[in-house]
Amino acid sequence: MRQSPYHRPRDPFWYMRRSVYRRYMVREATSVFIGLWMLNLILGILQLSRGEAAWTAWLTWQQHPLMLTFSGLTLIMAMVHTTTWFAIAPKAMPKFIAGKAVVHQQVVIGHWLVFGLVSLFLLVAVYWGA
Amino acid sequence: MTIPATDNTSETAPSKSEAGITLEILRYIPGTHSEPTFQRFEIPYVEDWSMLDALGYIKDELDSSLSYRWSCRMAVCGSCGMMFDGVPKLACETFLRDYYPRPIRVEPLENFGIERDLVIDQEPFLEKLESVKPYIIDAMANAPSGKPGAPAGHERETIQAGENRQTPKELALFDQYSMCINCLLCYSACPQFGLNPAFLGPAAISLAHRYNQDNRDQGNADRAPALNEEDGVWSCTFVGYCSEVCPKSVDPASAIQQEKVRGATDWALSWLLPKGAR
Repeated sequence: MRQSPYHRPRDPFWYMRRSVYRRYMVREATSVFIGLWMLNLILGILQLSRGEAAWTAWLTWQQHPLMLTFSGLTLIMAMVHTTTWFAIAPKAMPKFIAGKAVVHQQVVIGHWLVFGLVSLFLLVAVYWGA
Repeated sequence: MTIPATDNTSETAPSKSEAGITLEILRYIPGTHSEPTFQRFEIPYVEDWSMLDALGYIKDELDSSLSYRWSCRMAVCGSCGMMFDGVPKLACETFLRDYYPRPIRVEPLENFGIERDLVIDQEPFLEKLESVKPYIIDAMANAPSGKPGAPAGHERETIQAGENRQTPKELALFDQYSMCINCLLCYSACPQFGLNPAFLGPAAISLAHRYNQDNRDQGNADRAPALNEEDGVWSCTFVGYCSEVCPKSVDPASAIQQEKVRGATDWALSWLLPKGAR
């Protein structure tokens, strides 16, 4: 009778073993910062609905050195996340679009172009609005 | 796992003045060993020896009980996948010279059950491969006078139906994915498969994608249930190491992402389109 195969115990710190795993974990961890920052933003909207005093308090809290550090850190994390995702985006593309071969570099450049244009539009809109 | 290595330098091993290299091989013989242990072998260093040559030397000259899979010696059969210093590679295209003079740690492919020594249990993978129906389904449906649903065994009928032509561009849609040799290095590279052995995995999804992309095939809907379930494409978190270790440049990570797009599109269309038009 065939013996059942031996299964080696799994290393709980498997992600520390290879640089490719460590890079992957960093990419995934960046989303934690973005998630927390989004919670902060939702809290802001909630405070806005509660009236002027609550809104002003939330705005003042945003200028606290702790919150400024957190926002700066989140910006860096968001850039890491964006760069790493844009770099692997071509893999999710089909090999041909409208009969033409998809060039990986063009996909990455295209992502950055759209990102840049949308960011520019938002910046202008915010300053125009203010 | 730190296991003390046992010494196994036999009489046939080269003298110390000769250039030599050490291989630390994970040994496990069911019934004899309660758990795998590393065994050290001193072998002569020959510059053009592959790891497969080195294992052959050990089996012929030092310890005939050593078990490992191999066949073609030229990276075609996909039998000799194993871990060298923790990296999944084919033994036939990995060379002693790339490690010399350091000792080399040889282990069976990670994330699989060990049958004996360097031989892993392939059964779970073969079941997964079967579940994605890796063959052309209803090939003659698109032939000039083909009859959809005609049994594939009807040779006369398929000949009468005419040629099933394919342009170079149609071939280019899937030829890269058809290069898979089922060596399972990608499964050893995939941490998600390590955490969840039910995950369909890189090679099975690549082969499903290969047939889904084939214009002669009509089996997308037949493969969809295995691909779109939670343990299908959605268990992949895009670590991407599978594509790095693939010896045939299949790029399984790309196949999985494209099948995610297909699955999501099909799901969206199932809400938008009336039943008959899907």
